[in-house]
Amino acid sequence: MEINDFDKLVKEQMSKMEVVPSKDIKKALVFKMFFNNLFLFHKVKLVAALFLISSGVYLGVTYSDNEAPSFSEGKNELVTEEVDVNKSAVQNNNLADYSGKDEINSEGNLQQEIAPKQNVYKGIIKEGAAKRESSSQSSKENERKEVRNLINTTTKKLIISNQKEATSSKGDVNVTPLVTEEQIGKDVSERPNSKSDIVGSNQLKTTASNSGNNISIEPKISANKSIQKFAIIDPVLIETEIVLNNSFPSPIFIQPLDAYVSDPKKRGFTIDAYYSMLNKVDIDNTLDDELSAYHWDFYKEYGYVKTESRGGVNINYNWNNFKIGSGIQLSTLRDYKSIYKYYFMEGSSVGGIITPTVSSAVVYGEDTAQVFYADPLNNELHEEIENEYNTYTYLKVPFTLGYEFDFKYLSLELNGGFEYGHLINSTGVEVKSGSVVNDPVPVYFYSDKYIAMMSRKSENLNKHQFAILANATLRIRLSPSFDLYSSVNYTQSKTGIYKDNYFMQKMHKNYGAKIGVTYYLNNRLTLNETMRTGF
Amino acid sequence: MITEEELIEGCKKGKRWAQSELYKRYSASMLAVSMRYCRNVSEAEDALQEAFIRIFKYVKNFKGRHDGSLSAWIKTIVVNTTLSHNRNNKKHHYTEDVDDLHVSADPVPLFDDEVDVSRRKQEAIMKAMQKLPIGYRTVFNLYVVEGYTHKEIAEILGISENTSKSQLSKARKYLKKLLGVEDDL
Repeated sequence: MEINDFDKLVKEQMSKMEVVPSKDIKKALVFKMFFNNLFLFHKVKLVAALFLISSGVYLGVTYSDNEAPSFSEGKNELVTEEVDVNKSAVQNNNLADYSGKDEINSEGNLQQEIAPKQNVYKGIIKEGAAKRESSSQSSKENERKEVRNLINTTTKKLIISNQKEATSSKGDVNVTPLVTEEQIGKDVSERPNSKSDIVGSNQLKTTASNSGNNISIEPKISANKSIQKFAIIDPVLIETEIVLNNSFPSPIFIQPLDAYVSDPKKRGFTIDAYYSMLNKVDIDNTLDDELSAYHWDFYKEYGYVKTESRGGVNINYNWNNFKIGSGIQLSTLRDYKSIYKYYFMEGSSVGGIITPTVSSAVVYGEDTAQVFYADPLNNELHEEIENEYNTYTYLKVPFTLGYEFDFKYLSLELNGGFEYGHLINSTGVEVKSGSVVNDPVPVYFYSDKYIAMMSRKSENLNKHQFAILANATLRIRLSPSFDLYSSVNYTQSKTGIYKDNYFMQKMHKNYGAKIGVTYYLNNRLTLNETMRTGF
Repeated sequence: MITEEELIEGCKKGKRWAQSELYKRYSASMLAVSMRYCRNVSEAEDALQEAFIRIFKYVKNFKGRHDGSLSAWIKTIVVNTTLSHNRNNKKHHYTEDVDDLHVSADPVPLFDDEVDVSRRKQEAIMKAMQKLPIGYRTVFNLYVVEGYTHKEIAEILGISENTSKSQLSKARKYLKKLLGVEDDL
């Protein structure tokens, strides 16, 4: 065979060839197209994803900051606080509280106070080292420098401040520039509230004690009890006077705890508000035998994806990771229908008015969206009803039982239960049984059935629905009071949409996802507090 | 009967009835196109699915006069998608040597006196074609069936013109052998 002949033969045969794809291809294509066409759906997904991610990042950063403050930050705060106290004490000459009088005479206390006094900076650094043993040597050096700088800066401020005050009270100083020897024997408490009296000696120091939220200023006399001389302000003295009492634990935020907060078994009530824009619904249409001959789409090749949207509020009671809940939900199911193919013939013309005539109609699905009313004798089209989908709106009350797996910021929750639904609205078309008194009759259906617009009051509809449900929920903790969650849910109806005597039974299953917010009526502890208390 | 213009307009508006009708009209012929480039029906169906998603996505850009007939436009998308599918999923090389190609002892009969001769011919050619290595099969289809030149094939597949010519020659030779056609070369 010549090359050209062979090529021509192959091309000819291949160009004519047709292979019918499997039914699954169209189903998959319809499904993909459905989601590709949902522009809004993608936007919602994007927004929800961004929201979840940003919330997670925000919480992660926030809680990590709270849990592990950096060494330098904590130390700076501490030093600043205590230095400020000293500063205020010195500036205000607030030495009325001489509660440390006993300490002045106590040798033991004096010894205790000498040690930190000998090396103020070391004392400060040591506390940091004790708190953060893992800190590197270089970071310690940095911390020392920072603390030194801070103290020096503060000291300079104090000096300036005190010098100003000293200047302002120069009259007093001039009157008593120096304390005489006779004054030495006097009790410290009898001394006048003069700054020069307090800070005028190396042996005198001021200790700022931080006890919880109560801060007391205790002047103490160390080493030898004698006060040799008094100066108005000595920078060196001020610097050495600053002693930080670090023996007290860092302050702990204390708040009243009720039983729901402190007892993990009694976490109390929560309220969920959620919305699910699109759920996929599989409706299983079962046609009466007498009508099944009209349909040939046995594999539902021409069926459309049905959808459902729902939103509602639930209230749950949580006990020891178990939860029981109920609520109220509004659900709208859209039952999209197939469109059948129809053909018209040339209509009859009477007086110039052409009446279309239906020649044939091919019905793909069991439940169609279009209905013709035509004269049974001549097929003249009288009326056409087109309705893309029926809607069924239910007010539902779900009852669920669930268990929560807690992972600090996230938690996974599995729920199962059932729901009751009450039909509150319905739109679309329905097929009614009975003799049609007047022509025309629908082309498609038997003559003893006709099409009517459907409403909530339709006698063919089941007003009560029962279904079983299950869902898996992933929660992210926003605050002690709020969670954001996303959930995948499955619902299977146990009651048909229509009554048993209707020509078609419709049972359905829903698959979908929802997003929502949970509010805790009893505030939980923050995670930081949870870790400290072991809650 | 829905016209092609109505169908295109419907698809441009995203109407499901139009998409369904378009799929119904062209899916069978396009699956045959896709099958010529694939080893089996399963791969071809995957490619066909991707192709129809592209068709529905880009049909709004289709301009009848400029792009030719709808069927030609669809066929171009199906061919390109199938080639892309093969390239991405299978990591095929389009330059293969078929010296080791196993030729069945019983060639597929190309000519038969039975009733459905045309159908049997088509199936025989398709089966033989699917036995070829993908490089041979692709070049042969692009040149013989689609009507591309060697230069165009070289650009599409990223091979040289000589390679394209060589692969076509070998493909033709082995295809004849598989079909039991006497080679006059």
